[in-house]
This record gives sequence, structure tokens and C-alpha cells, in this order.
Amino acid sequence: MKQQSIKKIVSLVVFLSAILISNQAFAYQKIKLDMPAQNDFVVEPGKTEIFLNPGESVIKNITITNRINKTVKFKLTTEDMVGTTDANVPIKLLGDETGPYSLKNFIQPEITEFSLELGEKITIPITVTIPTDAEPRGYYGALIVSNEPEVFSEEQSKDAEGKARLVSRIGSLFFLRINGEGKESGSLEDFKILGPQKAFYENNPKGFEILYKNDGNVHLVPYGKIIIRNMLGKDVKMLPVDAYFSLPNSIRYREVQWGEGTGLGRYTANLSLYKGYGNENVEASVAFWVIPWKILVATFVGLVILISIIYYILTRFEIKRK
Amino acid sequence: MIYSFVESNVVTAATDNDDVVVTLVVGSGIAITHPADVTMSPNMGMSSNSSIGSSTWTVISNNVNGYSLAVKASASPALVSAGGSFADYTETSNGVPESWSVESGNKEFGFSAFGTHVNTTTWGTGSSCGSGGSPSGTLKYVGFETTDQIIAQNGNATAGTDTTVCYAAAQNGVYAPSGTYTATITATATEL
Repeated sequence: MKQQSIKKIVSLVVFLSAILISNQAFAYQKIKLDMPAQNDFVVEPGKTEIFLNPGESVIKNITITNRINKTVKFKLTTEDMVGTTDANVPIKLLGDETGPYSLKNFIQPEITEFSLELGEKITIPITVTIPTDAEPRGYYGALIVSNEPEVFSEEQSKDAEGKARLVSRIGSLFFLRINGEGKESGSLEDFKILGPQKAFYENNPKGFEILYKNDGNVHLVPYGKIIIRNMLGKDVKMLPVDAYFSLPNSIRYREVQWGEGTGLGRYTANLSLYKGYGNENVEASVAFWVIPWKILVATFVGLVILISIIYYILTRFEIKRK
Repeated sequence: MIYSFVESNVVTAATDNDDVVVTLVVGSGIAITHPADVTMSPNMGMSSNSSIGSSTWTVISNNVNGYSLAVKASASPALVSAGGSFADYTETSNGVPESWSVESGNKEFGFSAFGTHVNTTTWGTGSSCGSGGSPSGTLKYVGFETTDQIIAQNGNATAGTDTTVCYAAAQNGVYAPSGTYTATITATATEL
């Protein structure tokens, strides 16, 4: 009797342990949503920012949703990324190359291959671990989510037939900084009106360009605002400069859209940009003239015609009181 | 009256305000379509010297700073078969897209792009890949690389923007060996 009780207890402990271990081994979660097919797949989030001490690790989740109307096999890989000195190329994924701020070997997804049906969403834990001897700087990489390409049939054409096999990928970017370390250094290189520079604009300019240079060894996140004032000094518009990343040793171009409506006279656009570190903002301004000449010419011509008509009437007709 | 004399103070109900801050965090995400694989047309042969094809990717992102779309080939040269290959398109100025032109004695494979977020100064002003197997005269072409080449970029969130990649292959004074030539082209979208 006593032996049977012991056996039952042991069996129960083994059973509960198996459940616990299986849950720990497969922490990713998959759910099915009711959604229409859109022939795409979604990755969230698109960017992750992490602050760690050397030797620490953190787990972040990434979610992939399949909206393609078939079962798709996905693969997860990692690549390093860098900024560039080409203002129009904010980031460059390095493929198999190792970057100067390599992070790809420190990013570990729990699983690297999986299949999703239409409407299925999977949440996968991603462990990011920094070695204890990590250098005091930033580390930058991307988790690449790609679909497996289809396999072409083996039939050969009698002519020269060209085919393109397509792979679609999304890179979810990872920005990691060692706490308290790193050289923060950035500068505003240029602030000007978007597009060709003109003596005057018929309507409000389409927007503004900001050129920001990061010559440190950690990423920065500048943000700020542009206040547009008329020649009387009154604020007529405030355009936010949303926070954006600037990778080390790079120049980043940022466009702020405007282009609403028109005005008349001289305006100044005043940029106040927080550099992403320290307590100071960097200021810059650009002046421009808005002269809606077509409206002014039409108004002037209209006035001339009206005055001419009035003059003609007054000089040709006599108005007498009865 | 006696009551108002005794109770001379005006009594009012006490009020107090409590502010509650409601916060909603909206995370960013990005989506990319998966177009079908492409068969270029017409087939090339002894009487047909050029062939074109296209594929369109749509990127959706709610990231306030927009997205970037890049393409690359899996190998160099990109378009290969068991019996041979087409050289990657050779530009006059290395890496700078230009009007399509294949020199005598060569057979080459290249690409261009068009779409709302494609820079027309770089890639040309065309809105179609050409016709009758002839590449567009208003687009600019370049050879594929095995590293990413940005073809589209936008600094704002987008509810869905198409970018079309135009493939072109041509032979001039030579004949490509018959067979099926395949290129694996990868498009990658990232948030900015």
C-alpha cells in the first residue's frame, strides 16, 4: 500500500515535470486570427532598442503574422548593419559580412524555421546576450524574417528562357548600447528647404531637409521641431521632427513635410533639434519668400479692369438728381 | 428667518478634481508582399534578342519615419543556367543606373525600378517596364549586386506603396545557349 502511494507520487512528479520542461522548451506562441488575405506578412516591432551591462542578457519578443493566402515557410537569420556617409542610405545590411559594431552573433531567436497558415501569428522570444568583455560602444544588427522561395520545375526550354525566383524579407532592427558607455558625438550638418532652392515660392515650400552627422560610436536619437514665423514674428506653424535613429559614423538625411496652403511675405523656419545626448539643443534657421504671384497678378488685373469700368462710366455719363 | 439667522453660513458641496492619464502605446510594424516568381518574355533565341519581366512589392508600415526597400541577387552573375549565364549589366559609370544599352558581343541582365517612393533622378521617369520584350527607354538600368541596393525609400508611414522592379536581358551579336536561366532576387524592407 505504501509502495503504491510512493509510485503514484513519483508518477505525478514526473508528469508535472514533463509539462513544466515542455513549456520552458517551447516558449513561442502561435495563434490563429480571422483576417482577409493581403498577400503579405507582417513583422512587429520593426525596431528594438536595448540597454545592457556587459555579461547581461535580455529577452525581446518578435511577432510574425502571415497574411498570404497559403502556408508559408519562414526562416530567421541575423545580419549586421551599419550607417553610411551617403545621406540617402540610412542603413546598410551586411549579409554575410561582419560589421564594425557586430551584433548578429549575440541575437538568438528561440526557433529559426517555422510555417504559418493564413491568419496565423507567432510570437518568438529573441535572446540578446552581451559578453562580459564587450567593448564600451554600440552594437547593431537585424533579425531577418524571410520566406522560402519556390522551387522551379526542372523542364528546360528550347529557347533561352529567363526566370526570376523571388524572396521577400523584412529586417527587424536591433540597437544595443552598453549602459553608461560610449562616445556620444553628433552635429547638425545642414538645414534647408526641400527641393530646388528658389528666390521665392508660389506656395509654402514642400518641406525641409535636415542633415545630421554622428561621429561617435553609439547610436543617437535626435528629435525636435521646426517653427515657422512670418515677418511680423508671429508663429504660423509648428512642424514636429519625430525621433529617428542615427548610427555611428554616418550621415542621416531627414525630410520634414509641409506644403500646406500658401502665404505672402518673408518667413523664417527655425529648427530646434535635440542631438540625442546632453542637455542642449542645436538651432538653425532658413528664410524664404512666399509670393503667390498668379493670385496677385489676377487680383491686380481685376482691379485695373474694375477701375477702368468705373472711370469710363463716370466720364461718359452724367448722373442728375430729379 | 430664524433659520437663516441661526444658519448664517452658506453651505456648499465640497468638490475635488482628480486627473487620470490615459495612455495608449502603438507599436511600429512593417509588412511586405510576396509577389509571384517571374518568367521573362518573350523567350530569347535566334530571332529574339531581348526579354523583359517585372515584379511588384508593396510595403506597409506605420513607422513615423518611414521605410526603405532594397534588392539584391543571390549570386554574381545573377542570371544563370546549367549551360551558361548572362553577365550582370555593365554601366558606363560603375553602379550608376543608365539608359539600357548592351554592347556588341555581350549578353547582359539588369534591372530598374519605378514607383511613388522611387527616386526618378536615379532610376528614370518611366512607369512601365517596356513592351514587346524591349526595355523601357525612360528608365535607367543597373546590374544586380549580391549586397542590398536601395530602390525605394520614404520618410513617413505608408498604408501601402507599390515598387515595381523591371528585369531586362539582351544579347547583342551573340546567342545565349538555350535553356532556362534563373536569378534569385531578394527584396528586403526595413523601418527607418
